[in-house]
Amino acid sequence: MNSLLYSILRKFELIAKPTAVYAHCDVPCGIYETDTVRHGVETVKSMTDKLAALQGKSDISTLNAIARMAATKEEWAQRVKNELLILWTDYFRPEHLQKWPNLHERVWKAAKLCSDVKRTVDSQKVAELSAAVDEIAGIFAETKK
Amino acid sequence: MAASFLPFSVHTVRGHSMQPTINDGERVVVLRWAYLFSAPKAGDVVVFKGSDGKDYAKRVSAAVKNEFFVKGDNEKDSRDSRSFGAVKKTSVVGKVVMTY
Repeated sequence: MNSLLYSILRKFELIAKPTAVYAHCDVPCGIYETDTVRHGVETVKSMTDKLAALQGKSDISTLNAIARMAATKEEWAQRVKNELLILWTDYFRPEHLQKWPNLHERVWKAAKLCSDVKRTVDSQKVAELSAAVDEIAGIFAETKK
Repeated sequence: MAASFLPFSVHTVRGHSMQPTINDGERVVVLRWAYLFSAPKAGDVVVFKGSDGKDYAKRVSAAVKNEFFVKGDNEKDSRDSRSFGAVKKTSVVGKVVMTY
């Protein structure tokens, strides 16, 4: 950082002492969202489609692109899994299970599909994951009504 | 205490949920007038007043009307960051414009 600016800010701190702002998370309120999982599935779908389109090509540029796309697919599939598990363990409550008795199984299957889409380049598996995520997001939306 | 009449204020960040953007102990400059004529948008790092009265630094992940969802940048802390409620615009102190 510009040393002059740093010096000015340090002098400013003598007049107005910095107060603490917290970047840890101890505010218990309970707001969750499903946008991230939907976005993640869309990313996985896009990467899967692009990878499938490159089948049979082996020039170095294509290999590089394949590596990057596979890494992105891997990353976002894992994010989807993480987000689903957060909803499962932290958001859904016993009363939700009473209303949707197969909720555990749905999340479990969706999480397994996240692993499947990482391991494969299979648009059918991605479609199954998308449907599973939509179902869970639908349940989530219902709980908000 | 911070001089709240000024257009900006400086703060020390405590905690790890905004890593790697902001590390524990780093200072931030907050532009308190950033949202006088506009609303926070997704991607902004904001300081807001939590329901417990403390100030928190988080990144806006989504905005719905005058409420905002916030998250920490630290993926490992994402479980905890989801425990924040929607933040109202009136609770936003300002926008983080610099770390040092």
